[in-house]
Amino acid sequence: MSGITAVRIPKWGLSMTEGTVVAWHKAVGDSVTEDEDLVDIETAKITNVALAPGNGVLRRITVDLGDTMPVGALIGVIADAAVADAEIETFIEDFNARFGVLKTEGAGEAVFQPATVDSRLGPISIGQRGDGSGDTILLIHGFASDMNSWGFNIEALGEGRTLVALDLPGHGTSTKNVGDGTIATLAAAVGDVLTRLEVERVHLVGHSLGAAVALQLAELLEGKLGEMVLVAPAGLPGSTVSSDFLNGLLTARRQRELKGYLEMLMADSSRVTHEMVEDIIKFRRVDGVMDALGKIRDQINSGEQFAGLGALVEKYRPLVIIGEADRIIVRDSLQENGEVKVIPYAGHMPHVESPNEVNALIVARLG
Amino acid sequence: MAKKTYLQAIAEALRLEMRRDPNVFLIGEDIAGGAGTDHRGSVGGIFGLTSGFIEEFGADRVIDTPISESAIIGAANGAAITGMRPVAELMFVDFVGVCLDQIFNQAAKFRYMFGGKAKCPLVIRAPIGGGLRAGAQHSATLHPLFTMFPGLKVVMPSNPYDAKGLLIEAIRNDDPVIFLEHKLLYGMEADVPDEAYCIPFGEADFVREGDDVTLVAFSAMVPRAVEVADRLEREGISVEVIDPRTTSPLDKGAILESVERTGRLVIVDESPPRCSMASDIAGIVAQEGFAFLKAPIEAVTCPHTSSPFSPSLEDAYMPSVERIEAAVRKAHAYRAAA
Repeated sequence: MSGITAVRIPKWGLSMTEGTVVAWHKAVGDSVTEDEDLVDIETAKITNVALAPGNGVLRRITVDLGDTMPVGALIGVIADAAVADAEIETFIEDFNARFGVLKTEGAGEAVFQPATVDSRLGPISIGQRGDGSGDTILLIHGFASDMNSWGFNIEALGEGRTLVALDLPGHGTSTKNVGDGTIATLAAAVGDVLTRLEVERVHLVGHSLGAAVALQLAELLEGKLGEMVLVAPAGLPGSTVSSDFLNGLLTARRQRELKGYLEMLMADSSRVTHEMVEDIIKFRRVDGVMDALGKIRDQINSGEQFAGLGALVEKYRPLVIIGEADRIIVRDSLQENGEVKVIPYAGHMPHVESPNEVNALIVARLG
Repeated sequence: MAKKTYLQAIAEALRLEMRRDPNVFLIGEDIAGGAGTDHRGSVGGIFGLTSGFIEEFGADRVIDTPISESAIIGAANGAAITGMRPVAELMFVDFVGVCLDQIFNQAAKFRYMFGGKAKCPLVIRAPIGGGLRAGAQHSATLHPLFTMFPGLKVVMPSNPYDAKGLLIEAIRNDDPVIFLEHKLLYGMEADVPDEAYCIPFGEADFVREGDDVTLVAFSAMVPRAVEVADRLEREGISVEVIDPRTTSPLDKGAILESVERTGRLVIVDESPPRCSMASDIAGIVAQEGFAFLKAPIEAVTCPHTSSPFSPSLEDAYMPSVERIEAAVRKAHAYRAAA
């Protein structure tokens, strides 16, 4: 049955098992082009748009709005206008009949294998994807986040490479000991992880605070550093980090109040779900977390530790990707050039809001 | 993050705190599984919640008592004011009557009567609630009784995540805490972090956000309230579900803030109606939020009688999803006469 493409619930997050269809960007009968925005899917963590998996006409939508389906389930059919209706019906029947099998095929593919590695600060949780072949990419998340924030990037970046994501000290399930809370201390602990993993050559991809950590880490890697990509980096010259956001994230008490701060992260604030708010609240309650995040925040707010980052940017010439509507890192100017890419309609989380563009930029940079 | 039941989450909170702090110990009836034995195959209480504890922590920290609630709470009180952190268990909250002096007249008043120089970091765990066909003497909730008494903190977790975080907070808290576990929830499963975490008292959970009606519920009534909210959402009625988590302290700010937005309030309380949380919250909102109200406050409670043993009567006795839904619809539909 050539010319028929299944539209399925994508797997975005590491823990994503199902998605809810909340809105279609196309109606049945509209023609669609591959990678065009097709359908909004809400997960427990976030709402995002799934792209058209192929070219043709959206011939069928097989679910109702609001339906929650497992990852991989059929939600629509794209096919050439020439394909007969009967053929499409057969395709849907076949697909659903085989779905029990399809569902388990490739399950876990996009998932990190969890492990714990020792560092000078204590145990660090890491997730690995890939068999160690190809280049290694280390993904370093931002403040108050964790390795799960790369859910929209692992599939695209992981092709032919080994991915390692980690929870920074004070974050996720890693040690809550952050030492003095400086990026230098965090970078040293991350360096310990790379030493333990015996990585020969590593590309660094860091977001926000994690980007500043990546720059510091580069100094420790000597000949092992490959490329470096900084997404919405904190601490670069000509930029300031919103202390309102950092403080609000730690002190907002009511769910609604915290939601307001989390909405600052996105250009499209409707992406912030109740569960995303809950996750932060739950994380803050864990023993040691508020102390750890408080220390890191105080170091960010004082800003002293960022003094040397400009020189490191000159030295390593990373690719910098920033969202046009970033409200967390406020920049004096937004000049796009060979080494700075500005993503329109994205806020502080371009790798979440515009993952396809960001993934493509990173892949192009890695060569 | 692993899925754990409410019962497992409570046991995990106890285990983590006992490992962290040697002053924490358990005392109650059958919590080891029979004094005088070598504890092999210990049952760990009537619900098996502390199964395995005597093996890990020994008989000095998992103390089986004779059938005497006044002895359990009396001993725990004494230990608490000398600096220990006892977690006492009443097999059913219904048995609290025989140790009320130890709770109301002693534990709750130590700090007050010694001018703040004494503290009583005591936790009393007690299973509550109906639905298990356990009859009039094993089905009460009694939370209003504890809530009306100054000096006590009263906790009613509605899910496994909250149960663990609230119990750890209770154990670390320097005041006597009544920790009420609903028997219907013991098997409920949810994601519960492995680490220790604390949920502060007096901080309500907005379980569902909504704009049309505020629905306040406690303990096992919360899942029922959520079911009603989800049902009505499909009809375009937006229900905000608030779980105050603790009745003392009570996060009345959360309730008033919500009613200011919705103008309509329904309270679900598994308790006879007089002097209940339903009447308490209705009173607070009538006094402090009268101008917000667009409709009379609705209360869904048990009738003013003891819990029946007959299954069909017990089902009618406890607030059901149907009764809650009807009350929310009534509040939502109400229009003041012009």
